[in-house]
Amino acid sequence: MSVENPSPQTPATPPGQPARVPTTGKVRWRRFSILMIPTAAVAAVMVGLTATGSIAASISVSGNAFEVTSTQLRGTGFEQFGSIATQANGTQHPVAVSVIRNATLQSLCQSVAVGPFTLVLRAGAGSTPVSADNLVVDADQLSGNATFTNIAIGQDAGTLTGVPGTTGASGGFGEQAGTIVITNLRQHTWLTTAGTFTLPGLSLSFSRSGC
Amino acid sequence: MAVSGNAGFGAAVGSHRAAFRGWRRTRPFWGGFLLLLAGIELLLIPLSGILIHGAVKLVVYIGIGGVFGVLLGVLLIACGLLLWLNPVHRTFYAIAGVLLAVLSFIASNFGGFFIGMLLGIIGGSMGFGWTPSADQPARRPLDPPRRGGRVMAAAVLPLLLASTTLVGPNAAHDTTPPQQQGCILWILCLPLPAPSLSPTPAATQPASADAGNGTTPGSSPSPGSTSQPSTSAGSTSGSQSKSKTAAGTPGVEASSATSVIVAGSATLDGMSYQGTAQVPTASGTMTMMKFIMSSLTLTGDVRATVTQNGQATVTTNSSLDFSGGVVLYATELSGSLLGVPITLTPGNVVTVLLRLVNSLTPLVPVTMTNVTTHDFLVASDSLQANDLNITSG
Repeated sequence: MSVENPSPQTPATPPGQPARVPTTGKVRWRRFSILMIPTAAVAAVMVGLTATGSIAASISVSGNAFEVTSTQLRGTGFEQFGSIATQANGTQHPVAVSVIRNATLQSLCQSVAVGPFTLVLRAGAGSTPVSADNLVVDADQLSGNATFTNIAIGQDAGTLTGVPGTTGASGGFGEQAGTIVITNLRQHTWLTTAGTFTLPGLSLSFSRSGC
Repeated sequence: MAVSGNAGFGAAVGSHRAAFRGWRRTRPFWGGFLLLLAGIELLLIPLSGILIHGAVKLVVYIGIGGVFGVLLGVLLIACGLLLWLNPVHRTFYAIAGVLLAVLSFIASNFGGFFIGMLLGIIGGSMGFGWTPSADQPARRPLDPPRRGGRVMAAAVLPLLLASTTLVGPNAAHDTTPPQQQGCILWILCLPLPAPSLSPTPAATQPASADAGNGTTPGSSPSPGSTSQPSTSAGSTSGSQSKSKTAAGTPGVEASSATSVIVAGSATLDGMSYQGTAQVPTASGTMTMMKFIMSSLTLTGDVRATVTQNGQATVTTNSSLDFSGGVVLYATELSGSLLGVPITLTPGNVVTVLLRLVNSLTPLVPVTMTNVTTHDFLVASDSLQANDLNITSG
């Protein structure tokens, strides 16, 4: 049993020569490998399955140095409304929140700044696009060519029904559509989340430039 | 058996450090430390923006996936701390930490873009491998007990990489031929092809070559993404229930935010003015003009500005084409009609005239120039927005 002793123990432990000799230990690397090797194998299989799109991953990234592009986004159940991100110093920063219930993205590219590098994630470049459920993107910039069906613009953001369970602030400006197609999508986002993301043909790379 | 403590933390610096060293050697310190780092790294990716920008409101939208990822980070931190505080149960915490780390790959941004996952796997394994050296009292604690063990451990990472490369091609083998790229591993592509990797944790992400194997029969896309049917959406024109004004009310509530659309020209096809409507908003009703038309085309630097809470979101388009059952509500509509500037507001002279001729206006397309529309609510069967660009702030 380990017993936590408070400070009065000091005289009993001379510097550099701890008195608790029997309890010191070290890492046995052979024992380390016993756990490490099977785990690594499991992890490798998981990575492989995700890269073929067999397993869906969950993504949730925030930070304003984050960009998403796609040659074509198709979605069913679309909502968009304004939201305010309040900075710690009180500055308010508006974002447009786009929520898509089911989305497929052709040639998805996401870039995240990681220190001096930019981590670029690409997927869905082949014949199977990336698919995402409950995709939420808080963007302060979005561009592309869009086609909507069954659209309503100017609706109270609190009454949106395009994606069940997600609404904006009551009284806010919102829009929703039954379906949405955006070609040459480019977004600069603060926060991206998706409940599930299947990423066929996933590749990660570090580069100096983003998407 | 293990008697440990924070002995000497308050004493002089020398004994302070010695006490820390003693504390460190009596538990799987580095394993716990790596698990702790893994948890923090996993937490930072979804939460950093929130911490930096204080945008706590946004957490609401993360949903179950994001919450699960955050939970994994917290649990990994807990495993690391418990490895330190309760080394007796290190095996349990170590295995739990390793499992959480593996799980984080699908649950939390690919294990925090591999970094957190690797830290967790290595840290957990180190915690598992840590054993008290009761038989050999502490001589020099950093002395490796068995050279062979460490070599074997060092061999693990290349082995891991090799196994990943095996998994990848096998998985993709029976499908389309993968287009090989300059990537080393299944998913990780570094700028330079690196045939030999040093087994340092930082440099080796378990990933593998080949970026482009897009298709796998087993990987079905998520359901229903291309099909048309949708819930809800344009229920605007359908159910008109609430109040009994001339034009009725839309089935939806209008936003009370200030919104303005400015366009160089607007073409209204089959337009008919329906009179004023009491449109419900979150704070009472608003009197708006109601127009219905078969199509509405806005061209010439179309700019929609929405202002809420003193912040503006600007949407620009080269053109906006609404078509099919277009319903437009607005509190003010102004522009030039055949060179004559007109302004329409609910109940003004022009709208009264418009109301009188509303059976005639659908017959000819109406084109207005320099159009400005205030507080709009528009619904249609379809909308084509060209060169859409939304900018907030």
